[in-house]
Order: sequence, then C-alpha cells, then structure tokens
Amino acid sequence: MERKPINQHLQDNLAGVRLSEEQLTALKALQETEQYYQSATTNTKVRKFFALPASSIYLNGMVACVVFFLSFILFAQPTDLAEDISHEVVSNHILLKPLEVKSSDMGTIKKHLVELQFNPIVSKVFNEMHGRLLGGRYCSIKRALAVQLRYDTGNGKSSTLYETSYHPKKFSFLPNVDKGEKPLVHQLQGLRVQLWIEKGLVLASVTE
Amino acid sequence: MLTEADYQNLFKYGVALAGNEDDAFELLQQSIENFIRAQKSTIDKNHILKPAAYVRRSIKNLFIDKMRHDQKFNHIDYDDCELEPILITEDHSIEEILITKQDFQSCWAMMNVDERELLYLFAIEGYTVQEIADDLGVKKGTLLSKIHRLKARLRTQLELLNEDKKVI
Repeated sequence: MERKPINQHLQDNLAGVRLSEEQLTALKALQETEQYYQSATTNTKVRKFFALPASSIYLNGMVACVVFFLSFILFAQPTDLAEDISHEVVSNHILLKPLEVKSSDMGTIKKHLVELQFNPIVSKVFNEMHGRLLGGRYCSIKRALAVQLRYDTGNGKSSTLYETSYHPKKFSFLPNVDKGEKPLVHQLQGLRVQLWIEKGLVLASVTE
Repeated sequence: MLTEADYQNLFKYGVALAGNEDDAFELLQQSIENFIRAQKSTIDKNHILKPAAYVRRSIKNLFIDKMRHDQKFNHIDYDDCELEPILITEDHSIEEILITKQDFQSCWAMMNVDERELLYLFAIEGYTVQEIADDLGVKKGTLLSKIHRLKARLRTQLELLNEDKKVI
C-alpha cells in the first residue's frame, strides 16, 4: 500500500467533506432567525442609555424599569408572540436536527421521549395533511419543552408538527380547534405555519 | 461575520474531531448559535475578533462535553502535561511520518481531541507552530512538547501495527 505523509491522509479524508446546499441554507436561516430574535428583544436605545456615566445610574435604573415594563407590554402582544413562535418553529423545521427516535409509531416515540411533561397527541388538524411519520425529537417553543414530530410528505419534502404544554397566560390568544375555531396561519420563508390549541396542548405545524 | 468558506472549513474541522458528518453538523449549528448570542451580548462583543476561531473553539468545547457525556473522554489539557525538554533545533514537522491509509485510520482513532485539532490546524489550515500556539493561546514550547509526544506515540503505534501484521 502507498505510504504518504500523515497530514496528506487527513487532507485526502476531508477533501470530499462539504456542507450540502440544504445545510448551508439551514445555517444561513439560523443566523437570520437568531438576528430576528435579537432585534426583537434588544432595544438599542436602552443599550445606549446604559452607556451613560455611572453618576446617572439611579436615573438609568428607574427609566430602565419603565422601558422594561413598556417593552414587556409591547412584546407580549399576541400577534408578536404568534410571529415569534412561527419563526421558532420554522427555524426548527429548516435545521432538521437529527431525530432522537426514528419510528412511524407514536407509541414508540412517546416511550423514548420520557422528559416531556405532557402526553403527545395525534392531531386531527394535522392528520388531514401529513404524510408518513418519521420520528421525533425534543425541542422548545418559547423556552418550554416541546416535541418535534417529523413527517415525510413525499417528493423529498417534509412537514413538522410541534406540541407543547398549554399555559393560559402565554397562549390563550391561540384558536382552540376543540371549540370549532380555525388555526392561525402564517407564511414564512416559503413555508406554511399553523398554530392552534388542541386537546389542551399548543400545536404548531410547518409544511413545505 | 462568517463566510461560506468559513462554514465549510468549520464543518471539516467538526468532521475531523467527531469522525462523522451528522455529529459535525450538529456541533457546527450549536456553535454558530453560541457565536451569534455571544456576538450580541455586551460582555463578549469586543472579544470576538476572529469569528471562525471562536466557532472552532466552541465546536471543540461542545465535542469535549459530548465525549464526557458519552464517557469516552480522552482529552489531555495542555496545562496538565508534564513537559519534556525539547531542543530548539529538533525537527517538529509531522510530515515526515509516512504511513498507509489503513495505518492512518488506526492512528487517528487513538489520537485525543487536542492531537486531532493539532493535526487539523497543520494539515488543513496550514498553520505554523507559532500560529497554532497563538490560536490556541498556549506557549510555543508547550506545543512543541505536544508535537514531540504525538510523534513518539505515532511511531509506537505504527510499530505495534507492523508487529500485528507480521503475526497475521
């Protein structure tokens, strides 16, 4: 067998290693989404204000509190929250992180994802459009532990369904399909996002 | 900001450490998330002068965490090494070690995270010893000891492999 310098072997081994177009797109989307969150939560005026001399620290503190509460009220508007959730699930959808459990059986998925503090459901709303269940993984929605269920819809496309616990203070603005209401629909980055409440859980779907 | 070339190089680095593309991609994703958060934070903002180097360090740290979690940890901190005296005139190039592809796979498997990183920076990034020392924030002498020890371990490993072949 041919002998070569050890560094040459490493170069040969890694020569064909490249991110695919899909992976590159996912990483770029990740940056865009993260920047979106940062711009939504970081008020540049507040940052400049904190750069003032230390002598004005008490005044800074008081005004910062007012700005904080105003920001809280502003950013806590349901429409913004829905948009935030939509961005979050779209980001999760595009990233396609490895599944923690690969199975087309919901029971098997539930058995593996034992950390969930709710019982994942088979959604009636999503059932109408989804393809073959591929598996699931842990994720989060607005910092709450959630499950991502991935479906193969054919032609190389996939859909994802997200389920998390329902908190009335956070999610009461979402339509409840059990009361005959229709899911909220957003279009983001060429993807269709739906948000709704079903059987006491918050659900979000992303379809291509 | 990271360029497409940075992404590709960092992905290669991840594959070099983790040994497979799935883990490498996950490490890269998490590291980029860390980078973006750190970039926006007022504390770290001025410290990220080399984004690619920052993400590379994050990949390495996440990989070490993962190894610890998987209980396969084989990392030796540079500071923990008992340094051997190294002659300045001694040749520290790794290129002189000629091996077959099969032997390379065996040697690669026995290397720890720091050694893989070292070889990656030599072979793929084309860094000099001084540049690697600067990049890793270690003294040049410490790094030379590391190279010296790595070469010795490689030679021992190759001898063992050759003996095995003779037995077969």
